[in-house]
Amino acid sequence: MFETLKTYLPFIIPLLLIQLALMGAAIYSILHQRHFRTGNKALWIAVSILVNIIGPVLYFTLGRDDHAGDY
Amino acid sequence: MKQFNVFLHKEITENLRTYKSQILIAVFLLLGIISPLLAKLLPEIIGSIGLDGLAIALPEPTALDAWTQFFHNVSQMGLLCMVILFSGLMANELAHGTLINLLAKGLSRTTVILAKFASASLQWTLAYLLCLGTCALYTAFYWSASLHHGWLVFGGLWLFGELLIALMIFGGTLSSSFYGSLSLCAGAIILFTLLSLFPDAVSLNPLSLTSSTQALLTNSQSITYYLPAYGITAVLIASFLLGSIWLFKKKPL
Repeated sequence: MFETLKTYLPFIIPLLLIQLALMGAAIYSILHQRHFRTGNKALWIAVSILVNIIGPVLYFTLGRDDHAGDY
Repeated sequence: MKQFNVFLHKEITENLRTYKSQILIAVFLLLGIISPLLAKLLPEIIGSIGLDGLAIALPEPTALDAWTQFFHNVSQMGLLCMVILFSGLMANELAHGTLINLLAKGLSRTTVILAKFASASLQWTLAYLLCLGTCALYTAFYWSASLHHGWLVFGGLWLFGELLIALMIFGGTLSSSFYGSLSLCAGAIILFTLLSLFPDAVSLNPLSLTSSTQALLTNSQSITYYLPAYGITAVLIASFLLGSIWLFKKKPL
């Protein structure tokens, strides 16, 4: 088992780093956001943590209100 | 030129602050890692299905499989992601009226279109190169890589991405909404797909830039056969940009 894991370690470590970075950035942004284009704070936190990689990407493309500061 | 630089700087800052660049880079980095991984795992995945009594002889994965996965992922997931991220390129500003002040102060409309195209191209190129570099590193690490047609194969997909950016700017200028950008892109891809039903038009179809990669990688088709498609795509990019400039100049804000 450990041998198989070792073969794929060069793949797993960068993937894990990207996932953690995306999740961290998403949660930081969600906590500092008052208005959302769709959904709410709790929903996006849950999505960002539970759905790997795609969750944070969805938040940044659909949930984040880029013009929140305008109004 | 100074106007262009300032507006380009504004565009890049905007994309950084709205996290669009970072997401694009992360997604493409991911695709660069996943492609060789999928190529390596595919025999094991198929093997683990365990068809009783049915022996499937699976060849060892090669560098070619990794590159096949790369083109498969980037031309679908990658381009889709890029289109969604950049669909508001023109539309957001037209809908919110944020350009009015700048244009009233004398910013030329040609500059707006060209700088938007330049900033999107810059990010697409950077993300694509990063993805390509990552995949190349892994491929070189796991397999001894040698490619037919060298790096020329990768130019096609890049040029097709540029065409999509030009289409999105045109669609956004035309309709002032990001649905317009998205539907123009979707419409163009459907049109190209319909065109690819005619075998005679394959060498002229811009979609060949993404679908021809398999034939080029296995050296079953020479690159000169597809050269007209490259030319037509370049002409289409230029005409869509000129069209956007012309439309934008006529458009009341």
